[in-house]
Amino acid sequence: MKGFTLPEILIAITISALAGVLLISFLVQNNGLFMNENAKVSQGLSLNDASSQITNAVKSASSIATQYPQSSPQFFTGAETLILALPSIDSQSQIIENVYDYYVVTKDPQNPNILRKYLFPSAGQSQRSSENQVLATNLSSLKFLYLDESGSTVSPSQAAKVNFSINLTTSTGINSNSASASGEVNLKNN
Amino acid sequence: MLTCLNEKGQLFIFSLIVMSLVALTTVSLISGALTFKQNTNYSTNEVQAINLAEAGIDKAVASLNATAGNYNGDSEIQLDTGSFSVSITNIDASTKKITSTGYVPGKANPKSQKTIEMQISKGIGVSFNYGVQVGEGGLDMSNNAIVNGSVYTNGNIILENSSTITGDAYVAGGTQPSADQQHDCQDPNCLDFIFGKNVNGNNQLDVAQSFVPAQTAVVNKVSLKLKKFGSPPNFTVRILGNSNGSPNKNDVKATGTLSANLVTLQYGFVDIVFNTTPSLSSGVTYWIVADTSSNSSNYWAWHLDSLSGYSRGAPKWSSNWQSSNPVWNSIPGDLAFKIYMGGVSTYISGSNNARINGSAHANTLQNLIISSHAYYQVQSGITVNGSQCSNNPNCHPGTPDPVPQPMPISDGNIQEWEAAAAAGGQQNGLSGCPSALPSKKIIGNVSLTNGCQITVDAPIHITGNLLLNNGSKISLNPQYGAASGVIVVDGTIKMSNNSKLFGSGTPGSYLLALSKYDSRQDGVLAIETDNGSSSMILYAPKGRIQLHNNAALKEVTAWKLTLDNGSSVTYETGLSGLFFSTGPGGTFSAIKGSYQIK
Repeated sequence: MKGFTLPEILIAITISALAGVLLISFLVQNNGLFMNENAKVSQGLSLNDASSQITNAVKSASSIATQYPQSSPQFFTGAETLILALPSIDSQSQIIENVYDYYVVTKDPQNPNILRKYLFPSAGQSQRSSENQVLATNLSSLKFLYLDESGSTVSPSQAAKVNFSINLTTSTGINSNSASASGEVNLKNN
Repeated sequence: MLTCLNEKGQLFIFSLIVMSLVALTTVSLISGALTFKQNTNYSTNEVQAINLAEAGIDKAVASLNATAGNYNGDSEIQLDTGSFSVSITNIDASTKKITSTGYVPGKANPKSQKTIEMQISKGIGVSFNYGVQVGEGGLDMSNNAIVNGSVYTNGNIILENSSTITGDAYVAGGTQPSADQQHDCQDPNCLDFIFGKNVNGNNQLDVAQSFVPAQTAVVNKVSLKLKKFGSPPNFTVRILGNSNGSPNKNDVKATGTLSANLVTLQYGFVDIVFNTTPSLSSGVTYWIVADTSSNSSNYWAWHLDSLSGYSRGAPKWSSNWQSSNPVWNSIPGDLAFKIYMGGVSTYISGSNNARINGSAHANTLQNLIISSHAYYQVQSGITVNGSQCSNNPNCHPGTPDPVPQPMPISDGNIQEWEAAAAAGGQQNGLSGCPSALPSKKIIGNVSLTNGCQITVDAPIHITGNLLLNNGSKISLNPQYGAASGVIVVDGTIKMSNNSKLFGSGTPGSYLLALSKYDSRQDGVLAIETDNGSSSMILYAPKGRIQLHNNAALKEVTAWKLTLDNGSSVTYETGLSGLFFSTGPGGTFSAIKGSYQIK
């Protein structure tokens, strides 16, 4: 009977094992790279969207409100919460004088790793719809600074512009990825 | 043998599986990266489209002012990264709507487009940020008088017999009535010093005037004698130390903002207050530095004394005061300025159940019931959030005095209204009840009979006194839409029982009664309202205003204000963004609150 000798089998098993280990290692590394890059892409998309939405909202805002005027839910403007008074709009998308919707960007009250946006339209007047939207997940830090026109820090009600910075940190196995976005925007209606 | 044959190729199959997984994740990665790239491109294009649309708004305002309102828009103007189109819609006689759309890369086949709408009008934007703003004369409230809103005064507040402020109350550190250092020019030696643009190849963007205080004291405010060309934006004013005869960029003493709304096309002194009130030393040189950006059609002029009559300082200009090695160039002459220093202790004093439902901010607080927080240097007899101040976290001793606030309307604004009224012609004073009154200058007194109802165009300038007898009413012409109007009176204003002023009927429109009467010497009332006068805005920058029994107003600004039996001021949010028409002679500028990204 023809067959393989023991050395041949041992060599073949060794080569197979080496090749398998290399392939598995390659697969693991590839998976790590995939998770890493996927996290970066996800963070980038979230930051693009959040920055754009915050920038446009600040530009359109009439003022920075010290708090959401209704008793519930309770939000107060501060270093981690931005509350904007946006002019309400009618069915023709025209501004309604002296009526305001409130736009809140803050950490999720239940999960501080989620950046959330709320829009509370003026009941019965504004044509905007109420919103409760996740802007980003894996939030590691959020900071709003309220500045006057010279760039000095002032109380929110006196601010002429808002400086914001958002940091996201995603854990990918033993590593973690961080990405950040920041901007300084003038209140055009203030 | 059979077993061996069946095992052949397993590694190959395994490699195929691994390679497939690798290929799959690689394709997924590339796909994600491409999505991210597209998203980033989209975001960038969107920002560029908004910037282009804003460029279109700027271009439209400049063109309307350059052509006396005869600009109708552009179908497409190409800029570096894209283009914009502009259309103009007339809303009423003095108000237009600009619709500007930005396109990237162009109007044909745009990858991104954004539209911005904004309303502009010939007039002056004014922000009344407090229900009551009072100058150095202070605020007296008695017998259930109430301010529904916040109060900011540069003088003392006295609250008696259950009078109440529902918002916050601020009393600034007292400002000395006269300037420590000042200089002005006299014709024919007055020249323009142009800045905020390139002049003959020089980027004259930052302008400075040095001074030497006569006393060691805190600096409260500065006044600069300015006029503007076009519609330049607010700029920053700083007090800097001195280094080798030029401003020292590393020694910023104080920073404040000049409000462009307070500056007009004619020269006038405009106040600038600072975020802090640092102490300046007698005999030491300091610099007032105006920090602007360059704009060839929207810029500034500072009145210059060609005779160099100020012996304690000199002016200079620079293209960038913050550069690593700023170059300061001498200006022949002296710039017109005033600097106010020192001050006196100010207070809020209450008696018999006087209440502040918000927070109280003053050097000294006495005998008050305060609902929120108390910020002070000295207190006696105050109750804060239900308890006295020992171990009370709502009490904040050692807080610096609030800084004085400038009045929301400048002398230059008033001069512009007077000039606009004079452009409508003039007539002698009247007594009776005309049905309508166009915008004009009235030489003498105006007295309206009982129950008179009159519609007016604005602005109106009355050189004498204005008397509204019982029940008389003045309304702004409905054609003014959302814009407000003003009646400027050189003398006093008396509004008898139930007399009222109304806006155009559109929400957000008001008719402002403004008295220029100076009560500071004789104490005579500049504006007096009796029972039932309501829903008005009153303004007397140098005068005393008194609201009698149950008068109910929207906003009051005065040098000194007295509210007695049951009178009230109820602030409305929209008062922070009023727009006063100046009639056909004014320049176009943005109406606050009308900017909208579509």
